[in-house]
Amino acid sequence: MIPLSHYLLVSAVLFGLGTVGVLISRNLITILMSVELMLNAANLALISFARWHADPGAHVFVFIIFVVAAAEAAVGLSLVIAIFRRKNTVDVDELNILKG
Amino acid sequence: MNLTMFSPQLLLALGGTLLLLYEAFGRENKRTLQPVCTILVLLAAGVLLWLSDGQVGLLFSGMVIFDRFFIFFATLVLLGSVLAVAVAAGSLAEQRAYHGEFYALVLFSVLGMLLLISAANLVIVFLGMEIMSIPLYIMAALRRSSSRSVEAGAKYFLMGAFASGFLLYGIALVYGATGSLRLEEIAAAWADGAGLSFVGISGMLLILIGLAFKIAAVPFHMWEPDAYEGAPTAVTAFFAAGPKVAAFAVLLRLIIWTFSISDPIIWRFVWMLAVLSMTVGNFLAITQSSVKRMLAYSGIAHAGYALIGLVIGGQAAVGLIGFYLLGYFIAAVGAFAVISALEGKQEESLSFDNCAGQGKTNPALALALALFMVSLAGIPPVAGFVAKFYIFEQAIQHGFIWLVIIAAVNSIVSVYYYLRAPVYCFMKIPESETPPAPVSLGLIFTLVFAAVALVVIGVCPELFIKLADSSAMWFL
Repeated sequence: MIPLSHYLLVSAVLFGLGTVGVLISRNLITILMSVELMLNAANLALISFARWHADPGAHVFVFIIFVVAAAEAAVGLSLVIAIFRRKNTVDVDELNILKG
Repeated sequence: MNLTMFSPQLLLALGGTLLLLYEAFGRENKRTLQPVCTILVLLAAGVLLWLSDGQVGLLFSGMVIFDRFFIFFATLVLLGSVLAVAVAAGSLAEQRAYHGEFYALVLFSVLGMLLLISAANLVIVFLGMEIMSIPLYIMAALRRSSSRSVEAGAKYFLMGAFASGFLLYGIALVYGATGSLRLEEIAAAWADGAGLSFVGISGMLLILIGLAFKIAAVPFHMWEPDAYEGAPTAVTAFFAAGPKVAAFAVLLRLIIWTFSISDPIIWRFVWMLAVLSMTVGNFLAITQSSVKRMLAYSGIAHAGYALIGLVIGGQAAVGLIGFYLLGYFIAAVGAFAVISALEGKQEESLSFDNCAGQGKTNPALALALALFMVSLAGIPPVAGFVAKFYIFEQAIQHGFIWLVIIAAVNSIVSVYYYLRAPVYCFMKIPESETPPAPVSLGLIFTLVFAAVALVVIGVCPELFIKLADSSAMWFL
């Protein structure tokens, strides 16, 4: 059997990749994908802890997170479309009207 | 299980759904009826809340809690939303940002805030946070035709989603360390030291970072000035009223009740957040030329002052922060209401130069703005002063002399930029004639209510302090 620490390591790596992706990526869609990666890293951690604690509660939580992530992606993508219509680009560096 | 204790949330969900259908299928008088219905639903939720006063209990197998703490903070949120919606009724149409969905979004967002305040389980903390935030992203981008508004929405969304990633990963780690998602059991595991492993502590810090984004504490504040400035001003008023109060409430519930503040790592982290927020918020506010953006940075500074209450810790923190937020959000909503009127049809946000001469053309609005700024700056005899004084006094009594010195210096610095707007209004001669601002019934209601409330709280604060303190009596 694969020990808990392996799952946690993978989940931590995924979370780190997601965080770095949000911070360094310049494309709105890539940032959105990186955020999804962060949420899924948390899902993986939750699931493996739930197996380890033998507790079904957290499994249900993961389904709830799926739904929330879908809702968030829907709003996020529509905002990306709104941005694209205004500026013809999805580069975050072009989001520069508001600053100071 | 007694469903009446959950009826405010149910009413908000139902009201939001019906308003959405009304927007889709309704024909006549939509623009007048929608805000009226929204305000009625919010008020009815408040009445339902107070009808169950005196009861405490856990609902839905320990998911949601009903207690005095919930009643107090939910009342603040509902009150702030009513004031913001009253402003929006007139000003959204004026600024060509009218979309009927706004009112349904307000109700859904308030539902999320109420869930957040009443959460007794980390699942509900996450769910409430998202139900609150997702409508806020849409609201920030409400003026779809404007690049500024859409940009504000996108920036708010990116930072918000990033923050919920941290929150969620933190929840997963805390669950791993303690084996439970219920706040009660986590508190027990924390108290007997079972949760204090590396995994538990890092989970808790990640949760704190996620929440620090939501209250816009430095260094997690980058989104706030942009979201506040770009969103239509009535929406900004809502941002200042609801989400901040709800995020502070859940912060209190988690830090004071679940993870005890006496833990040195959390304590140092919160101390650092408080000092950074006060200082950075204030000094960046000085340099702003837009009144709206200045108020956004001042909101960051105020989050810093409120965090002093959290540094003090213990049950006293609940009353301190509750009372502080009461004083802050009324003044902030009022100030944004005045700004929305002074902006009129203008696309750009109100700058200090736009204020020049307003004392002559719109004397009532300029006077109201002066009162709100005085309250935010913490000058007697209005609410802002009492709230600040109360929090500083408690901090000194608990021996946080350095923290109070830093806060007091910041407070003095802040007087400069707060009084700049009234000074421009009354003393600066405008380059061109300023037109009279459009004034709607809702705006008058909000301004009169906010002004009277600030003076009343400032003159006889005992009653309100007692009310805020009583919210610390939660069910455990």
